[in-house]
Amino acid sequence: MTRIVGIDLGTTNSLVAYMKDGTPTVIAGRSGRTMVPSVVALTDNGLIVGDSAKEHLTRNSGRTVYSVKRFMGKGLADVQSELSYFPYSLTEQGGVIRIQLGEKSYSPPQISAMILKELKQRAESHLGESITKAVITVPAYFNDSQRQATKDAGMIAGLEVLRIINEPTAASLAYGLQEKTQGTIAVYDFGGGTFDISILKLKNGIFEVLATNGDTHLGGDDVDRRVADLFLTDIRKAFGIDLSAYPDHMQIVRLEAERAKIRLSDELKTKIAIDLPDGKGRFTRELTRDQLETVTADIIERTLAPCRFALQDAGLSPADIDEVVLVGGSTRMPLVRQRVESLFGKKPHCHLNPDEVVALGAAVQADILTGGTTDMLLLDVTPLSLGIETMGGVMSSLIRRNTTIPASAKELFTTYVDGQTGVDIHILQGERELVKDNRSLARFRLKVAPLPAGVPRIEVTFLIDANGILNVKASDMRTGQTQSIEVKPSYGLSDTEVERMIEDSFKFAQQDVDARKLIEARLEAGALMTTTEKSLADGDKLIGQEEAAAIRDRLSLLKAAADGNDAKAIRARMADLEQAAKPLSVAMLDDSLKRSLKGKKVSEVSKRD
Amino acid sequence: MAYSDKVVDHFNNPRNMGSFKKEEDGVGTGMVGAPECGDVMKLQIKVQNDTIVDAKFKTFGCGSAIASSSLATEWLKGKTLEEAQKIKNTDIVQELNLPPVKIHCSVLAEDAIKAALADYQKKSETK
Amino acid sequence: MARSMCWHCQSEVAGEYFCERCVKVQPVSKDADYFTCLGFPRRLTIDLGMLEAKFYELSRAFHPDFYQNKSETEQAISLSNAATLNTAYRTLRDPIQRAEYLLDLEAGAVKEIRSSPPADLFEEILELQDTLEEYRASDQSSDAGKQLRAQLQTEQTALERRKREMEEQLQHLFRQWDELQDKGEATSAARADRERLLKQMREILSNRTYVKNIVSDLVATIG
Repeated sequence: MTRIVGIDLGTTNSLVAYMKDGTPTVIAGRSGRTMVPSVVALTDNGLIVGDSAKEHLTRNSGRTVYSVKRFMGKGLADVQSELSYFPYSLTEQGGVIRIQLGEKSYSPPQISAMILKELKQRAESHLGESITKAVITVPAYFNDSQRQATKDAGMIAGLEVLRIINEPTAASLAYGLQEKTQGTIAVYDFGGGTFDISILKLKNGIFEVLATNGDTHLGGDDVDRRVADLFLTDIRKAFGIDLSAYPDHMQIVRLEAERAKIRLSDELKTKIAIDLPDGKGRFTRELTRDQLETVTADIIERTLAPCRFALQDAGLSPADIDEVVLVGGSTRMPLVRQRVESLFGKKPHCHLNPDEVVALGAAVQADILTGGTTDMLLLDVTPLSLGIETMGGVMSSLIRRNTTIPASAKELFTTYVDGQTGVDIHILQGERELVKDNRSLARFRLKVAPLPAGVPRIEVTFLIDANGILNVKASDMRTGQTQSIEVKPSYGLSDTEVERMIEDSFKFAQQDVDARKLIEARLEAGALMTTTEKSLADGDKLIGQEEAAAIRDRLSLLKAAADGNDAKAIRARMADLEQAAKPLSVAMLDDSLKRSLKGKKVSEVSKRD
Repeated sequence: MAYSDKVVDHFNNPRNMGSFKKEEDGVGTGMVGAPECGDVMKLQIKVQNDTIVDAKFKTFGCGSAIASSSLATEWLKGKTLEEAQKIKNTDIVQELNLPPVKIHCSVLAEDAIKAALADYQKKSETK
Repeated sequence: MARSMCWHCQSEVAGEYFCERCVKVQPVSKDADYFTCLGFPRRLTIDLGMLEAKFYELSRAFHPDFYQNKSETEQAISLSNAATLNTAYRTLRDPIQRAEYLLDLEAGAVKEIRSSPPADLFEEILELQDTLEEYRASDQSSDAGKQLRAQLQTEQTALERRKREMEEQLQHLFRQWDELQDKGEATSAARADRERLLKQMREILSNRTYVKNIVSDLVATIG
């Protein structure tokens, strides 16, 4: 069985891990850092990912994408309220957000695929083998569209996604492996962009999720935004500058806010300094932990309601929880730990690296799938109720939230009119009564043979697989024939679109190679032109006028080629120039030889000299 | 799924909500429940000369149950007792385009009609 | 137990989950009820610890995680079996759902388990619903609003007590049913007893559902 890696595709940072002799291990990059910033930047040299891309946030903000996870499986209307916070421009196409980078626009799965590719390459160079299979984690509260988008991203990156696994449950696997505990645990996962709570029962190697809840739009990003707003208001007051007109500076402020927040997890106060644009001075202030907690308390408070709901759904009280495990960088905030402690009435478990534990768990799950780990089994649940639209715009539930997956429900459909040839079905996900308050997943039309009303009997099976992804199957109860259903996702890419993006990604990969070749060719052409021009200036007297003219001619041809985009043409003109310059270089060599001999044997000095 | 305006209207503005006095002359009361989902439906008819002159309902339950009973009372008005007997749940299903999961709501409405008719019959016999 | 053939090697399998000859996983029979699926007798009192242990054991046998290296057919069987197993466990784990399910299974034996509707309870529920509407529409901070709220709270407490009583009654009936089944008599008296019990259970289960619904409506409105 080929190796499967575990990937934590995070809002802020992503990691890749694998099972090394029974121990899950995170793979570090050349720098020694395990985290790859989930940032993609379009530079003059093409697309770059990770640490180097992060540097572009403050220089090239309009072409640098961060927190793309917030847009996975979403339409533009879903994120309308926060559009102004993002320096890059977003549009929509067929229910899917598009991110404009230069002349091209990309779907969130394509951007995520670039991050995944980076991780794939990191794993490949570390392990010295090609990696084609992965387990990728998602927030437990991700809906079907968001999960599907993540799977699409994997495919675009050339990875077969064998399992989509929930982040808090992945963390529980790593925790369980390390601590060997039995009992009931709560995993409180507060990351960069999402919040999840999962309650699990650990017993004899079975990890049974009892309930899960969360908010896919609540994370460290929101905390940073609050702090940044604080600075921006100060700057406006003290300097009269509205930084929103300076996208790069908006990013500087955002990153400074994030760093200040991180420092305040260890310190009680910290100093902030930000250079203002156009030489308008330097903004400095002090931020105390108290101040940070005052402006962000309500955000942290918002994580508690999901905790209570999850407990309620699990039929448990806080006292029933044996241990609370903290996951995600945002759980480093002392206020978070304090609030968690007061809700559950016990000190949370903080011995795991909150940044790495999810990736480690993904590696454990990957090992279960390869058959390496056989004593552990994760029984996860679907976070949201699945249903269909019924009369009056009401959703009727088929599979309730917190049902163990795989889960299936069957419904029998028939016709009401003679000769009716189709039944329209609208699939939804969510907990609200009305269709409009829930997430539309897909619509499809059930094909029915034209028969008298009520005669056709089509059984539709809605199956949520172990990835939490919906599969729909229909079979005609009269003929026993199964019908494949083409489901049009409401907020996702169609199969054809994904296929095109996979092709594009290969094309882009080729384009990337081409771009690199062009850059190299230009650089070398530049070097060649410089040396040739210098030689010509120094040694044009050593060669004939015709020869010198030929060199000048070739030089200008190369110059023209280097301004173009054809690496091959540049190489060809370079060869031409080298050829034309040969007499010059030979003459120059002779000359230097002669010069070195000068003064030694007068008789051997050139006649022409 | 597109619903006709009429259906959405039955859902949003149910007709004939309320009740008659049970003891009142010519009133038949049907009281039914759907044990599967806990919906409760009370449907009453007012009869004069074997014709239903008015109908009212009260329903505790989901929107489909409310719409089903609203539609049933609309249909009942002006029908003779004999005609009323013929109303079938499938007619309601078809009119409201109810999906499989909500078919029991229409069954409930049919049961309520039958119960109200039976109650009226019983009352008029004992008189 | 229904006899069938292994989909792979065509040897006979009699309800086992794995073929004895080729060790391939077998699909759970469509006719198998949830009790059979989990290997429990059709009884209303179940040891939850044993049920969980069996569920875990079968999860280890069927979960798609363990079929990643297997053929497509086996993967499909694993997925479908795991989904059935999960539904079976969810249904049998909860005593009310378990009883509802058993009543469905037994519905063939007793043609019309449907009980006569409890008119008094229905009147009460509909009236209470009117009061709820009135409260929702009222100015909840006014004296009238507060009074309505207090009235609803009293109703809620009473209904919750009633629900508990029904559940106790059910427990009692469950035990009676199990005893009767354990005896396994085929006399007409035993059959009549079974029918009576099924009818009683049906009635209380339905009434409990009505009460539960109005209680959750009350909870949602007055908290």
